[in-house]
Amino acid sequence: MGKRIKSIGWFLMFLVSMGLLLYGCGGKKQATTGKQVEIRFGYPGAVGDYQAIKDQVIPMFEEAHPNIKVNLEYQPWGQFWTKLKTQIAAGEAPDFWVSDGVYFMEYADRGALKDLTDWVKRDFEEKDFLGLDFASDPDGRIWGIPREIQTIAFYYNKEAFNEIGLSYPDETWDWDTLLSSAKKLTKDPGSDKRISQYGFYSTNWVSGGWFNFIYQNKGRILDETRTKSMLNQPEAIEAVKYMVDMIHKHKVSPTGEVAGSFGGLDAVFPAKVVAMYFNNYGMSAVFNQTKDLDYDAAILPKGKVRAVSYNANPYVINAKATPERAQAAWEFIKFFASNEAVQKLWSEGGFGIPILKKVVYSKSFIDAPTKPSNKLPFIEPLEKGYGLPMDLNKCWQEWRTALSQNIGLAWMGQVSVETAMLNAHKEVQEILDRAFSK
Amino acid sequence: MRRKINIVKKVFAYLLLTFGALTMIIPFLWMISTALKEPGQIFTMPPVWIPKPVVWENFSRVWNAIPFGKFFLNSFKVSLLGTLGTLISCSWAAFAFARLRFPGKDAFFAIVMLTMMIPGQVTMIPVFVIMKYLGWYDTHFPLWVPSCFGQAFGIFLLRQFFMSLPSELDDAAKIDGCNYFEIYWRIYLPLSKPALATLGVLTFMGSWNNLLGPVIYLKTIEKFTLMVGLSFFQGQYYTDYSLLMTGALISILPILVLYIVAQKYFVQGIALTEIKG
Amino acid sequence: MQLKIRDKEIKNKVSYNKQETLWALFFLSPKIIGLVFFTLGPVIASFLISFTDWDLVSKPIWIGLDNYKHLIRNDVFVKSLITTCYYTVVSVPLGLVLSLLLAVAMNQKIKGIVVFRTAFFLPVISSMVAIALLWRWIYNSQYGLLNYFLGLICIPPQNWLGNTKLAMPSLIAMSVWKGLGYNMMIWLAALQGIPEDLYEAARIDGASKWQQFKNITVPLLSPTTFLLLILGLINSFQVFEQSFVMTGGGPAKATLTIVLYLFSNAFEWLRMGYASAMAYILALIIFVLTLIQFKYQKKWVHY
Repeated sequence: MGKRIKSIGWFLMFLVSMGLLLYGCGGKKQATTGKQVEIRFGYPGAVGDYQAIKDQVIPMFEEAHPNIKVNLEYQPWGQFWTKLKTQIAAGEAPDFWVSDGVYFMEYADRGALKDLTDWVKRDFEEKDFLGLDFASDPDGRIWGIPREIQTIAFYYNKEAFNEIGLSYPDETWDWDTLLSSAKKLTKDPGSDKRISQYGFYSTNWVSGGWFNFIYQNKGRILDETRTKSMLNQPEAIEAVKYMVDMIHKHKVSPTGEVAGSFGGLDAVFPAKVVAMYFNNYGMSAVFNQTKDLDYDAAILPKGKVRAVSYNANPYVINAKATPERAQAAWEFIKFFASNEAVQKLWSEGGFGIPILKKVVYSKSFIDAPTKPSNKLPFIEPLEKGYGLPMDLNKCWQEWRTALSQNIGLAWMGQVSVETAMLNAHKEVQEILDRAFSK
Repeated sequence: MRRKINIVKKVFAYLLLTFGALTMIIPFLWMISTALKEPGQIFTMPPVWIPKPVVWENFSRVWNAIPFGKFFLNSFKVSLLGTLGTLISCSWAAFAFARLRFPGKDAFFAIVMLTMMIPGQVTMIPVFVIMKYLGWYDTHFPLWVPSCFGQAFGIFLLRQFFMSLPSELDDAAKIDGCNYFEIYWRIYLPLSKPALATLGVLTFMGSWNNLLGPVIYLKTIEKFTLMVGLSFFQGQYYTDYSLLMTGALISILPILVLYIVAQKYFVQGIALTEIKG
Repeated sequence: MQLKIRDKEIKNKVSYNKQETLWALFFLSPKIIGLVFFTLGPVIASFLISFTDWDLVSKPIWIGLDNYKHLIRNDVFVKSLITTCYYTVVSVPLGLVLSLLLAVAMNQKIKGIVVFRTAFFLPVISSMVAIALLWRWIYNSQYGLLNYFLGLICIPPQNWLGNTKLAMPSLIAMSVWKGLGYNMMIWLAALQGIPEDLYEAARIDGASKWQQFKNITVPLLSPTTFLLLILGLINSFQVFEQSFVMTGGGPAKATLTIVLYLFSNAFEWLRMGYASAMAYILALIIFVLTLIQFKYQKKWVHY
C-alpha cells in the first residue's frame, strides 16, 4: 500500500513539474499570431549604425515579438543599391529595407514598394511624430516611415565670429546678412596668395546648396506634379546666381576644386577653411571628432520666404513580400518608430533626428549635451511646415545629375548662370518627358 | 671618350628609372602615411607626409572594426581556387588553339574572344539568375568556379606564348611517341613559366580586388571578402579615410608578396641549342 | 606551275585528323562547359533584353529595334563613343611603347632589379581611391603639383580636370601611368622567352644594341605585341573606373565613356534594355576592329 502511494506521489509530482515547466516556457510569451515568421531585412549602412541595429535594436524587437525572426542582410552603403536592383530584377529582394530618402520614389513609382498609406493612418498618430509624410508622393500615398531625419542646418564656426566680434547668426538673417557677414569672415590672401578662411561654402549640392536658395526665392525646381521643370523661371536663376556670385564675384566662397583639395564637403568645416555652411544633422557627429572646433547651428537665413531641405532614410516594404511577412515587417517598423527606448538609443547614437516627438523634445535629443547646443534649427522647419523634401520622383537621380552637371559649369565660372540654367532646364525637361511619357 | 659617354648614358638611364620608380611609389607612400594619421590631418594643403602623431592604433582599430581576419581568409580562398582553376583551364584551351587543328577552330576562338567584348554590367543580372538556380546564392562558388572553366584573357595570353614556341619541339616529341597531353605537360608548361606566373599574378589580383562580385552574391557577413570589408568604411555621408587606407594597405600585401615570389619564374627561357640536341 | 596547283588543292582540302580533333575536344572541354553553363545563356539573355524596355522592377516590354534606333540619334551616346575612341587611340599605343621600353630596361640581370620591377607594379595593385586622391592633388588648379612645376617654367596654371579640353588628356596620362606595370609584366615574360644565343650571335656579327632590338627583339615579340594591342583595344574601349572615380563623366560630359554611360543607364536610371543595346553596339565595334587586326596580323606577326 505505501509503495503505491509513493509511486503515485512521484507521478503526481512529475506531472506537476511538467506542467510548471510547460507553463514557464509557454506562459511568458505573448501569443500574437503564434506562428513563426522570418523576415529578411536589407540594411545599407556603415560600421556604427549597423552594430546598433544588429546588437541592440533587433534583439529588443525579437524579445517583444518572439514569433518574428529578423534576418539582417547588411551591405555597405555604396554597393547596396546596385545589389538591391539586381535582387529585385531576379526576384530575390529582401522583405523590407532601408531606402536612401532620395531613391525611394524610383522604386515606388515602378511598383516595387508596398503602399503603406492605410496602415499608417491606422497605426500612427500624426501629432506624435515628425516627418511622417516625408515618403509620400504627389497623390498623397505614403511609401515608407523614416528611420531618422536629416534636416539641413546652418553651421557656423564660433571662433571665427568671436575673432572679428561679429554676432552669431539668428532668425533675422537673410541673404544680405549672409553675404555681408561672409565678406567680413573671409580673410585676406596671405603671402602665398591663398585664402586661409572663407566666409561661406557655396556648393553645387542639392540639399546643402541650391535647393534651399531656389525655394527661398519663391522659385521651384520641379512643379507640384514633379513632372515639369521650372528651372527657366527668373526666381530660380536669380537664386543660383546669388550662390555663384559668392564664388566668383564676391570671392567669399572657395571653388569646388579648392574645397575638394581640403577633403570636400565633410572636411572643409572642421578644417576651418570655411566659417559657415549648410549641412545635415548627421555631420555633427563627424565635426565632434575635431575636439577644438567651437561651433553651433542656426536656422538657415531666409530669402523671400523660409525654405529648408530635409532628407530621411525610410523603411520601405517589398511589394512582393507575402502578406504575413509584410505584416511582420510592419511590426518591426512600428516598433522602431514608436518604442521610446529604441528611439532614444538611435538618437543618442547621433545617426539623425528621431521621429518620435516625445524623444525629440527630451534629453535624448534637444536637451542633449552634445554639440551643436542649438538643435532647434533641425526641428523647426518640419514643425513649422517649411521643411521640404527634394522634389523626389521616379527619375530623380537622372535629372539631378543633369542639373548639377550643367550648373557645374557656371560654378566653375566657365559659362553664365543664365546659360547654364537654361541648358539644365532643357535637359531636365527631356528626362522628365521620357520618364513620364508612358 | 666612348666609355665616358657610355657611363653618362648609363647614369642618366638609372636616374630616369629611379625617378620613374619613385613616382610609382608615391600613392603607396601616401597610403602608408594616411594609415598612420589622425582623420584631421588627412586632407591638408600642402599634404603632410610624416604624420604627427603617428597613430599605430589604426592597425589594431581596423582589425577590430570589421572581422578583418575572416574577410582576409575568404578573399584568399576564393582567389587561390580561382587562380589555380584559371591556370589549368586556360592552358588547356590555349594549347588546343595554339597547336591543334580541328574544324571550327577560328570560329570558336572568335566566340571566346567575343565574350571579352561585352561589358559585364549587362550580363550581371542573367548570370545572377543562373547562380540563383544553381543554389549558389550566398556561397563563394560564383566567385571562383566560373574561372575554372577558362577565361578569354588567360586563353588569349597563353595562346600567344604557346604559338611563339618553336613547333619543332612538338615534332621531336611526337617522334619520341608522346601524346598531346604529354607534349602539353612536359614541354609547353615548363617552357611557359614566365607566362604562367604572369597569368597567375594577374588573375589572383583580379579576384582579390573584385568588389562587385562578392557584393552581389554574398548575403551572410561572415562570408564577405576583404574588398567588401573595406567598403564598410564608406558611409552615406562620410568616409573614414584613415581606416580605409589602413585596410587597403594590408590588403595589398599578399599581392605584393605574390608578385615578388613570381619574379623567381622570370628566368631566361630555352636556348636554341637545347632543341637541336 | 604544278606546285601552285598542288598548293591550292591542299588548301582547299584541309583534312582533319580525327585523333587530333578528339584531343582538341579534351583540351577544350572546360571552356566548352563554361561557355554553355555560364556564358552563352547570359549573353543571349542580355541580347534579347536589348530589344526590350526593362526597368528591372516590372516585366520587360518588347519594343523591337527601338533602343537601337534611339541610340543612333542620341547625341550623348555618340559623343561618348567619340570620347572613348579618342581615349583608346591615344592611350593604347602610348602605353604599349612606354611599357616596352620599361620592360627592356627591367630585363637586366642586376641586383635589386626586383625592387625596381615591384615599384613599377605598385600602381597596378594600389587602391584606386588612393590613386584618384593622388592625381586629383597633382591636377589641382590651385595647389597642384603639376601647375607648380609648370609655374617654375612660366606656364600659367591650368584647370586640368575642369577644362573640357584638358580633362580627357589628364585622365589618359593617369591611366597610362597606372597601366605601365601591367603591360610591363607581360612584356617581361615575353622577353624571357627570347633565347640569349640570338643576341650572342648578333653581337659577334657586330650589331649595335639598337639593331639587336630592331631585328631580334621586336619581331620575336610580335605575338605579344599583338596580344597587348588587342587586349588594349578591348579594355580601353570598356574604360570605366577612371572617369567614374575621377570626374564622374564631366565636365560637360567631356570624360563620359561608353561604359560609364551604360552603367548609369542600367543601374542608376533603370533602363536596362537601353543599356544592353549600347553594350551590343560596343561589342560589335570592338569585334569588327579586332577581326581586322586578326586578318592583318599575317603581315607583321611572326610566330
